[in-house]
Amino acid sequence: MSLNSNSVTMNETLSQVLSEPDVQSALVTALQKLPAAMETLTELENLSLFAKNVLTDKESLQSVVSGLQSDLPQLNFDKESLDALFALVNKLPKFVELLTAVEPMIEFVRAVLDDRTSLENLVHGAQSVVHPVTATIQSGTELLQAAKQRAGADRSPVNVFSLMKLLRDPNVQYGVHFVQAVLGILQEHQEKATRSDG
Amino acid sequence: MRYKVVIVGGGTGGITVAARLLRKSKAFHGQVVILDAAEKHYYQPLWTLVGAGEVKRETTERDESSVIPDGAVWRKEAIAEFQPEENYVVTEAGTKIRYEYLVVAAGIQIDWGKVKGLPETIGKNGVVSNYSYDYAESTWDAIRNFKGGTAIFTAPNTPIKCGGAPQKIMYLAEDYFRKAGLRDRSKVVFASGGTIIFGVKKYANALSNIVQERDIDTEFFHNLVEIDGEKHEAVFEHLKTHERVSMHFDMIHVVPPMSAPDFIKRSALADANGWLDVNKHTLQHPKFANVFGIGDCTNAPTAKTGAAIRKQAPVLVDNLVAAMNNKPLQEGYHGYSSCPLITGYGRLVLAEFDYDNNPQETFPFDQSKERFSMYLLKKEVLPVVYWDGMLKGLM
Repeated sequence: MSLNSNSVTMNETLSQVLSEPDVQSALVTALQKLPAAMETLTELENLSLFAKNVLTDKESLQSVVSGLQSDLPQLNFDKESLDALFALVNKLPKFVELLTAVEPMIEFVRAVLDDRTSLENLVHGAQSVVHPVTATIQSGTELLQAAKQRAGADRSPVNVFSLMKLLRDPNVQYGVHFVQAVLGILQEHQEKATRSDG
Repeated sequence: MRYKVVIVGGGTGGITVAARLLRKSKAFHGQVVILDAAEKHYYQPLWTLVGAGEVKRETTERDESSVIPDGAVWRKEAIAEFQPEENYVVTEAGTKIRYEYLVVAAGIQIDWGKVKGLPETIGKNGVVSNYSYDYAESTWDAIRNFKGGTAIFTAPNTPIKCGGAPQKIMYLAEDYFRKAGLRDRSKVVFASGGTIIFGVKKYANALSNIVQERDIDTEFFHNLVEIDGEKHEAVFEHLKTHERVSMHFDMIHVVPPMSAPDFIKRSALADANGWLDVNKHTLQHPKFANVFGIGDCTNAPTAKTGAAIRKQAPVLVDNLVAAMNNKPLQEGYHGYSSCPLITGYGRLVLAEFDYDNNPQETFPFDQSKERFSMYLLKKEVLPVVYWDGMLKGLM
């Protein structure tokens, strides 16, 4: 088949295609959108030219790279890092779950710390709980100090009568009873131990 | 005026739901309106300790504006009526507010007037009550000025908020009388319209022992109907025999009858008893699918406590969002409630249970035993959890 006969066949096919209404309608739409398409194309072309210019501009590139090196931490991106990144991505759903659970607690603590009234009430409450204990310790210490000072200053002789007077004090009687009871219990334990040994 | 979500009530339930919704999505910002005319918000669980002289009443009060979550619209208006068929509410000022979804968190109504003579004498003549910010301090005045005689502690036969509260103040007062050396000159009476000391067997056993050990007289089926403050006389109706029984008192702590708020009673949202009708597991209204309810105003058969609201709120919010997205609702609320039963100064039994009155305890020890640690939890920790956790939609 000659070149001329090929052209005739193509022309016939083209006119057949162009005679179809769908194609005609599509062509009209395409022609209508052509200005906008050309605009986009020009922008892309400009962008491509800009990229080309940047890549050929060694000074600019050097400046960008050195800037990044100083701003970003040293990255040693090797296979190990990549594996870790994938492992991290795999665990993300679990992390999100955990973070969602922990988040209200963190926000609660933040809310408490921001809430002056609650904090004051808590401190006041803690003081009211601790005060009776510290007060008892304080009064006990004061008592011991006072007793120590008085005993140190007392130079009077200790005789039978002063001992008998002391024994009538209910606190001393309780103390003696307590010592008696402890001795009694100790003796019982000892006897039990001796029996079981025998 | 139209909003995506209208919340009726800026109490524990309303604020918690609003905070949770706003935390769930920024899309709700400016779309959630809270209707409440009150200027103040109260942490009521501490009123028992105000009445016992352990806590200053001012620590239980904050400005309502301070608890409104960021992103919510607060309209300082009281609700007057519901129009659920047409999806709007009307306020007492006559404002008509349309909604896509309605949350009713209206709380409970205290009917002081249902006991004859009570409104005239409350706060005077040894007649006191912890069920009001205004009168809670009068309870402490009565307890510390008590010189011996008869101290009566009542409980009505209606549902009430915090069912354990009538007993708590009684145990505290009895403890105080004992420490003040007045116990042998005093008679302590628990006169209740109920039939038992507590609904959950495990805690009822513990409380029965406490009542017996401390020589407290219990009079069940006794409902307070009339009070004469000047004569120091209280009249009870025996709920079985319907006889009237008069009792002399030197001090009396009154727990008033309570009911659903009147604007719910007269609306199409109410059940036969006047409470807001809800599915007890999903908290959705059975007839109006875009209406949900939370807390004391509902007919969910649980103890009416803040702890119940803490468990209801996340279920309600999830179901509300599910309804908005045409997804199925979850039956997620199983009646959890908690009642920290103060049994004396520094002693507390922490009752936690569900719809079936089965204990649902949080701590790994027997909570039916009186503990100082649980007392500290109630007095020091739970208020912080309330203000900074619950009302912020975090807990």
